[in-house]
Amino acid sequence: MYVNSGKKKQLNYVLKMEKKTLSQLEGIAKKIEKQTRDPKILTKINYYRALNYSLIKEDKMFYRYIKRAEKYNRDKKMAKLINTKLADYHFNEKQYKQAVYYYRKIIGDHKNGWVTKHYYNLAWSELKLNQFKIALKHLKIAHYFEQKKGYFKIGDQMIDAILLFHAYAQKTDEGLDYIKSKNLVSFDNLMKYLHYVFENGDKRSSFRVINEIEKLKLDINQEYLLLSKKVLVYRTLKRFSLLQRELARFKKKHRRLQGKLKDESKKELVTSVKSYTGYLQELVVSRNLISEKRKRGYIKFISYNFNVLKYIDRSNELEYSYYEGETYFSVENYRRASFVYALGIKKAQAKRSKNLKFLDKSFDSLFKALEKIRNPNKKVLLFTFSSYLYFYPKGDKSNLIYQRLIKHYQAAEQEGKMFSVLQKYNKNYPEDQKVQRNFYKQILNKYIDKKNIGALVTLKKYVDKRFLGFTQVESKKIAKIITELHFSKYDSLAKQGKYDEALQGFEKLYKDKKSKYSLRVDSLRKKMFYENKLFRFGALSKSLKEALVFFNKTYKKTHKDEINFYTENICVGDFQAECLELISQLERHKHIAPNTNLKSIRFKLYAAQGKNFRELYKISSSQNEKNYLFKLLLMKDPAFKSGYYSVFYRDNAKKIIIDSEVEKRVLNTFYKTLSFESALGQLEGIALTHLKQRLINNIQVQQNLYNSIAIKLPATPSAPETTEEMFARLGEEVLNRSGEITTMVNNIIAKADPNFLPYHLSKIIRQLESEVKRFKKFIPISKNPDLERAMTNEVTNFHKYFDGQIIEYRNLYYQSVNKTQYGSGAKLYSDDIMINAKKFGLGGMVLWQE
Amino acid sequence: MARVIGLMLILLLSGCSTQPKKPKYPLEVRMKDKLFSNRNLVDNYLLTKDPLLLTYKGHECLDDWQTKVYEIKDRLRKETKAHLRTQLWFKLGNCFNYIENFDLALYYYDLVLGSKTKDTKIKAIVYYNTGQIYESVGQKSVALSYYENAYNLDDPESFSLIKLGVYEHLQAEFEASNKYFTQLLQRYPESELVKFYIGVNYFHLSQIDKIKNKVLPQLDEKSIAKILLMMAIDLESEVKKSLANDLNDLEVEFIPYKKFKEYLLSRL
Repeated sequence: MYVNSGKKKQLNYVLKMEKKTLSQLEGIAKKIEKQTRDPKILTKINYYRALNYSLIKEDKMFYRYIKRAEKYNRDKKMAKLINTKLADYHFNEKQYKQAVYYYRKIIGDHKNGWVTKHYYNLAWSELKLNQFKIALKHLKIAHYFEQKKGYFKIGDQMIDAILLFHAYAQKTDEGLDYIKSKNLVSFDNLMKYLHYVFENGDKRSSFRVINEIEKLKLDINQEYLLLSKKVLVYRTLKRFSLLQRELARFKKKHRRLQGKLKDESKKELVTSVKSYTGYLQELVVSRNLISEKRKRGYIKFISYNFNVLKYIDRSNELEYSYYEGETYFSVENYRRASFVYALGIKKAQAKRSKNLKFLDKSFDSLFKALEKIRNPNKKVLLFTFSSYLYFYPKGDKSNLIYQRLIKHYQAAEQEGKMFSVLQKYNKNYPEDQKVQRNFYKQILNKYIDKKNIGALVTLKKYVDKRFLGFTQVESKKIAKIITELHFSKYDSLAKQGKYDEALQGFEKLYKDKKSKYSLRVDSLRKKMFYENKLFRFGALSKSLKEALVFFNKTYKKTHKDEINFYTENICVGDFQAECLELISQLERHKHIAPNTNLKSIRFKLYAAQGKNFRELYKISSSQNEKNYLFKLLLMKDPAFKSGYYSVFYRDNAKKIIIDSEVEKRVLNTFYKTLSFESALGQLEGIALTHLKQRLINNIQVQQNLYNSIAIKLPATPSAPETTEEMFARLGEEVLNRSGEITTMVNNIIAKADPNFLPYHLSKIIRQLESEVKRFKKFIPISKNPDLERAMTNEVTNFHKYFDGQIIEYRNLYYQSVNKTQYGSGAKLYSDDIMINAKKFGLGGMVLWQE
Repeated sequence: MARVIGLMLILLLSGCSTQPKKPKYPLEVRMKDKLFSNRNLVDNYLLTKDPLLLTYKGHECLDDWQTKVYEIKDRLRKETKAHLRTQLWFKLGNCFNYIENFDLALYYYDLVLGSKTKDTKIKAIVYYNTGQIYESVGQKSVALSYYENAYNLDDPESFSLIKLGVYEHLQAEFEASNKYFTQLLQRYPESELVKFYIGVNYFHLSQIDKIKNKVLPQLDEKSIAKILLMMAIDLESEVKKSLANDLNDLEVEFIPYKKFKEYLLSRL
């Protein structure tokens, strides 16, 4: 303490004073020794002189005087004191045999509180003398007293000694039992015990201690320490497989371990595993000592151990990978070695580890390993290159590696990666732009050849960003190529039947304002072409409308037939609204006027949709349209009230149809009703004034003619007797009247419309028959039989004549019926003259066909 | 019990989960009325069970006009073959006849004829139906010319023969009328209606023997056609006792028979 405090002067003074005091005491003792022979006094004087020398560590002097005290002493109490001092002296001087001698003398006094220490020291002395069993026995006694009140406490050393002594005594199991019986089971004690057993005891019984330790619930540090110990024990005992299993179990269990790991725990385990692995490596390298099979096993162990090390000591992962790789390398397993090196580097790269002490070495070995492999794993090779460039963008090998990596990605068609590398290459080696552009050109040509549009788009993106110093010119060049390829691709898709994709593509191309106008036009045309082909008229209609806006004058002119054709298809596809709208739009474009077909369709559609007739007529241009309109008019206006009939009437063919229909209708009405008024009524409302008037005039003429028919035979004499004069007058009248009738009939026949003639003749016949009937009632009576006979003969002649006339007129009548217009209705009366309208009891039916 | 309820529930649900409704072409109420009227007419025709009129069976548009028209229009929009497209136009034209939208019917028929189809059957029907359209509006002469066109193309159902036969009959051209009906009879040898038409023409031609020998033996004993023709013979043979009563008691709904019945009554 003094020395440490630096107060040396004071210490020297004390020592000086101490020596002076001892010297004075020695003088006094010598004086007493000379003055007496009393052993009691001499014993005490020498005993205290020995104690004095003991205090100042003068061991020789102590021993001289204590031995003198022993020699003079006759007292038992004093003997105990002297023997205790001598026992301790010999123990401290490592004179164990003597120590045992003296301790055995004093251990009998069990009332002495120091007996614990005496047994303890005796046990140690005996241990030193290799008397392990007796030593263990005395130590247990010492432990026994220590636990008793009033006895000296040895403390931790006692437990330590118990463990050690059991180990020395090769009584591992007994020791374990003792520990349990004395409640001394703890991780520390058991670990200590393991250590002692392994170092000094029965090594093979170490497993039992380990078993006991494993029964405890261990924390993370204890796990580490135990494993460290196990590594040591198993390795020494050459239980490698067991040890590997332990390591595997630890690795598996490791994740579940909780608590804070102390550095020393980790360090100890790392050291032991490293040491063990190093040992295995030595074994592997020493080829002659072990078999190839075992060597392979050990290599597996080594590899595994490095993995365990990587696991528990992540900061040095790269180092372990390197050494693991080296292990494989050393046994010429280059493929495996390359994997291991690469993996280590990969992890270091992923962790962005700063501890890259082994990076250079790892890469060197990795490249060497790869060189040794005939067909290196592509992934590893690729990784090696990429990783090297990551760590050494401008390293010794970098320039070459950039090129190799680019070629690789190029061959593997991983263009994205290739460009990424190319970019980095360019960034780090701008002076090699020519080489880099060559790569670009190769890939550009390849994309073009393969029509790889996606890749070209990506390429363009690079170029747009001034890749390899390219300008806008190059970008535009690619853009043009892309568009052309797109067009060709969509066309090809369509040819394969993938119409939806193709149509979407053409739509996209058409809408791309950056594309060339002509290509956009062609895209829209292609789109329309396939929409038409697929009969997607709704879409086609939309496209056409867009085309009409988008196409310039030249394109409209060039493709007008195409546009007309599509529009026509939409129309005939029954897209009526779209059709009409498109035709209207076409009309507004002077360069693509709708063709005749379209106009006709539009016209008919308008008509079908009930458009105003006037407008329809206005827009009708072709004969076909006019015919259609006429057909429609006939249907819509069967009463011929429309003024448009007058227009159609100018066309001879239509005039014939109209005339025929109207005339027949008039005649039919007439013959149904036998009424001129009804026939005239049929003409009411007819807009064809000329026709109407003609027919009215005709009917009126016929009516007048009809009305003019008045057949009257002469009145027969009413006197009871007919005189010759009277009869002669009658005869003359008959002749005259017959002539008149004939003239009238001839006149009627000549003047009458043949369609009405049967009716006229019918009246003539009816009237004539009536008159003849009346006339036949006349019987000439005379008193002169000759005259009467002559008159009767003449009257009979009259009768014959009239009957003949009637027959003739009836013949004329039937002939006239047959001469009426087909379907006039006159034939209804073909069995008799016309008196009442006839019916035959059959009606028409509405019948549709499908 | 629970199983029974479960089963019922399944049945109920399966009953509810009918197939999705088919889309329909819109149809105005007045058009629906016309369709209904045409359907009634056809129902009456079919009630006669006459082979001539049974050709109406399976007429697509009559059964479900709106669905059918939608289907045809839909097909038309997708059809790629010209001749099939013509057929679809033709069908549409036919369908529009039933709702008496003659504008559209004529429009589609015009497309059919404009397609330069060589299908004479289709053309004949187009002509025939066009004639029926014109007849419906009173353009009889125009109608007749279409019927003649159809006849000249040998229309498949030979309805043009009825039209022409009836036309001739109404013109009192009974022999000419029977020429058509005789041809029609070859097409429909079992048709009582055609035989009736022939019989009526013989009646007006006063060829009672032909009725007795050629027509009546071919008619079913209980057929209205036979009963009416026999009554007509009675009328001619002046066996008029109770004829008026018999005629009045005779229930006749079918138009051709009804008109002849009225005619006979008018003669009494």
